[in-house]
Amino acid sequence: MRMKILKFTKILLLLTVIMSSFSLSTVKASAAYNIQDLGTWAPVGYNYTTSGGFVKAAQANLWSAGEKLVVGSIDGSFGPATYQAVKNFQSKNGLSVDGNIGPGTWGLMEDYTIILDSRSRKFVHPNSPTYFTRFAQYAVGGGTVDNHWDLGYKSSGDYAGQGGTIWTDY
Amino acid sequence: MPVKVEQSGLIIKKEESLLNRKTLFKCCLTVGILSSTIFVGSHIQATSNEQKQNVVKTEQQVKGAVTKLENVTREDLAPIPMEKVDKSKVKITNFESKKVNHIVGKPVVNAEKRPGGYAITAYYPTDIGKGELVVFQSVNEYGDVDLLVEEAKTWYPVEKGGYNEISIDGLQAIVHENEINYNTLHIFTENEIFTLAGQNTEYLLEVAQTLVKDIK
Repeated sequence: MRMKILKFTKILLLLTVIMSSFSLSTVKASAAYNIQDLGTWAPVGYNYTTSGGFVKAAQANLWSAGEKLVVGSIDGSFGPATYQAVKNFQSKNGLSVDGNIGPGTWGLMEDYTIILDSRSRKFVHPNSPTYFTRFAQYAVGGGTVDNHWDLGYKSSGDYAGQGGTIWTDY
Repeated sequence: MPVKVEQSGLIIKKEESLLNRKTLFKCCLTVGILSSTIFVGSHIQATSNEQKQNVVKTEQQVKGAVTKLENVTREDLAPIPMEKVDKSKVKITNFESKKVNHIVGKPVVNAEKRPGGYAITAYYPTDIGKGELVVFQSVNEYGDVDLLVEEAKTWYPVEKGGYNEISIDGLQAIVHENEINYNTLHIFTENEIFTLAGQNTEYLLEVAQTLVKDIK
């Protein structure tokens, strides 16, 4: 009898693990980012995403918000310099200062992101006379859409030679 | 005595067995409850995300169905030098010469390609706060005002502050105001979309009045 209960418990535990991983993978697959709303983008910071496209887009926005010298290069790696730049941005824009770009900070960036037409948006912040960040969706073939960022010069409209994929929709 | 010991031993064994069974039962119950909670919780979260995604999908479907976004490549939206733009078609770069209020200098102007034309952005310095006035002109790829207006409405769902539909000298327009008073005004014509962005909606409406005279 005891053995049966033990066996039953083991099976139940195994089922729990399987169901949990299944549920978690379902949540991951359901995550939706919207190019038209920065508030839906992945949180960036030491407690969240610390590398990749969202970090680069965040760094580009910080350049376009006048924090270029603090951020340094747009390398997609969240380190002390980007952390400090985020804190500066939060402080200058009346947000609570924690160094993470969560929905609140993305949301404020969203407030400075103008929808220009069906295809593109621009993050334009008065604290940078030099840069803007453009967000756009491009087809890359096979029904795949590249959600893209580009850093541009306000003075010429040319891209500053920096841009990349934030995420890809299939 | 030995019997008692045996009996006592039996009793103890029984109690241990009972205790073990109880413990195992509790374990099973806890594991069962935990697994159900994790599954239901995750399912609720997944459902919530799915619903969110569905809202996004609906917007994208509406937009995608008409704009054929899937056909737009990086080259279609690339920057181009202003020298290559037919200036006679640019209607947003002469506000300064018209002495529009609060504009305190010449604009910085740049251009990008668009299917069927160009997108022009002009950044005007103003003396309103520390903000600049952004004026933008692009192609109405629908060739139809109503279709573009319907799409533009999806850009501003209620949770993002919504929009107000207005008419400026007979042209359809929508205004979006946000929490930090960095506002947007779109004016629609059959061939173009014009966007004004900056602080103070009253001021945007004032600039729009001047712009509409140029458009017509």
